[in-house]
Amino acid sequence: MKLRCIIVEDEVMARKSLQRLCEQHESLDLVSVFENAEDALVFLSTEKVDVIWLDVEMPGLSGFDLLENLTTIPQVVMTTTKTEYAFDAYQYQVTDYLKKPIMLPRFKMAVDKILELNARKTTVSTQRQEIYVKSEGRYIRLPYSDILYIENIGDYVKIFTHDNSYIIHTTMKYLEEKLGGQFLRVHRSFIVHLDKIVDIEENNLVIAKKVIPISRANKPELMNRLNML
Amino acid sequence: MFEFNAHLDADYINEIYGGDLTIVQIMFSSFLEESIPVWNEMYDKIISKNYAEVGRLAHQIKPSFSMVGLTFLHPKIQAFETFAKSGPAHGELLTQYQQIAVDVNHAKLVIEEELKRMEDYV
Repeated sequence: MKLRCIIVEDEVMARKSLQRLCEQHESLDLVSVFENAEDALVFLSTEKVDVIWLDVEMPGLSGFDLLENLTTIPQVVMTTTKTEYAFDAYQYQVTDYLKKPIMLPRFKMAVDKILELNARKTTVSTQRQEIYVKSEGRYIRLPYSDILYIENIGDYVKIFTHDNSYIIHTTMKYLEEKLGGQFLRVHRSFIVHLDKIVDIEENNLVIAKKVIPISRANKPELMNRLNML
Repeated sequence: MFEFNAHLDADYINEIYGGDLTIVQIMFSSFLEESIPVWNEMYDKIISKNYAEVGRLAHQIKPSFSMVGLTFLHPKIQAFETFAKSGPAHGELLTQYQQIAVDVNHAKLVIEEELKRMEDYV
């Protein structure tokens, strides 16, 4: 699977060069390019990416300002003409720090680092069967087995367990990919834990007394995934 | 393999772009379209004695010279930027600009020529 990435870079030649490097790399999917951090922030408020190629010095918000404004920080590769920001960059636990102009071999090394970290993270999350959600300033551990269903509410999603619910700023698409096979999107606004379904009737299903609609488009996939007699 | 004009630092170009002529063409075009107009704009700023803006513009286009293999110009632009930001005497800054402009104008012709040669080569 290709890693979704964006470029945030105000200097036109550096931007074009990096854009070409990303487009040529088989493991990267360059989804957007921004000339400033403000536009990138708007994009990131609704879209999830795996990697940000981020310039440090830009008019308006700097690269560090952008990171300060993100609730979830993906892998970040900082790019700059100066080495003096390296210490600050590592404070943000960035994946790599590249000096411009970016040399092809150095770019490839950065992508290798990204892929290695991503593989490690994927393995860990697959094994762990849990997610952490931020709630009232703390990170709460939520085992997959506790999650009943997830409801989309605008720019947020609400995760329901038996005893509680948690509102987090993310997208249904991202959660669907993150949670994996035990979960299925049955409707534009609902992802359900398949093991928690109590019954299904026509275009609705029930989980813990909650009636959840099933869209016509998603019903065949749901029926395929269930162990029907 | 495409052989660049001896005026350009071919080793540096190949190191950055790994022999990808398409990106070299993109960079050369961008240099002509983006950096040269900024260089020309700096003259007006010197005449109007807006030295801070001259320094800012020099800083802005400085990396682009290396990116097209004009590595020998980078230290000259760097020194010019520093001088512009130091509150120079008007005549001295203009003289320094005109001296570098000889190199920049020649470099522009080389880049234009190389761009044409690359189009034919590719």
